[in-house]
Amino acid sequence: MTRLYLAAAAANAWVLLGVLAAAFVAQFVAGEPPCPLCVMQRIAMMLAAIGPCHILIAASRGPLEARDVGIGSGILVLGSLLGAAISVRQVLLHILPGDPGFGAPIMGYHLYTWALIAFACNIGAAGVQLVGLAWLRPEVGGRSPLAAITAGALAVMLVANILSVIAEAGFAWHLPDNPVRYLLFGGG
Amino acid sequence: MLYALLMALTLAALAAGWRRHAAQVPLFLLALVVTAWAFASDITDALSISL
Repeated sequence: MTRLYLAAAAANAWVLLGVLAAAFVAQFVAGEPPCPLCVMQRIAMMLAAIGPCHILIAASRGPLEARDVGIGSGILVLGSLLGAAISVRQVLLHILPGDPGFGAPIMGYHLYTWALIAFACNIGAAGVQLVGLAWLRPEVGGRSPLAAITAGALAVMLVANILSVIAEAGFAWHLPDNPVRYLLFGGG
Repeated sequence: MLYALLMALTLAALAAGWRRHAAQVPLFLLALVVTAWAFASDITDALSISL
């Protein structure tokens, strides 16, 4: 059962990292700097990803216990609820017929719609993990580099986003509502 | 800078979790609450409604 939890936590974290990477592709390849709501969704996604990382790290240091699964799932739910609220806000801003939406769609949906789907799936996954505690018995998950690699990837994603948002906003407190250039490099 | 600070808080929560430090959950909750406050400010301030 521990292995199943580890696989679920790793899949969860890497799907979130994949969505964040896709956002970077849209930002740099399509030339679309993220708006404040987009950045807040990224923050919520990275906050949510701490949940599965917590489970992976706990299992790499000893037997995986229900307490760690509970904390990880709680972090995942809270981060996802905040992210879903922000995504719903952005979907509703562009829901009127004829509105082209913000940014280019990817596979038919805008990034904020994909983010909403990801946040909803996170909440469902956390519910399944919590129900599955009925069958969890503490056992050593085995030492593997999975926790270090996943947490490291999330840390790299966080640092990349910090640098990106500083480049975008310069040293201003807030981002422009509709950013089109990087203010740190004199584009303002 | 606000969002950079929020992400730095998130990074600190991740680092605390890696070290199995008790500060992980408080740092996570602080980042969550401040992000929620930033979101609430964004949707209630008519001058800063973002796209």
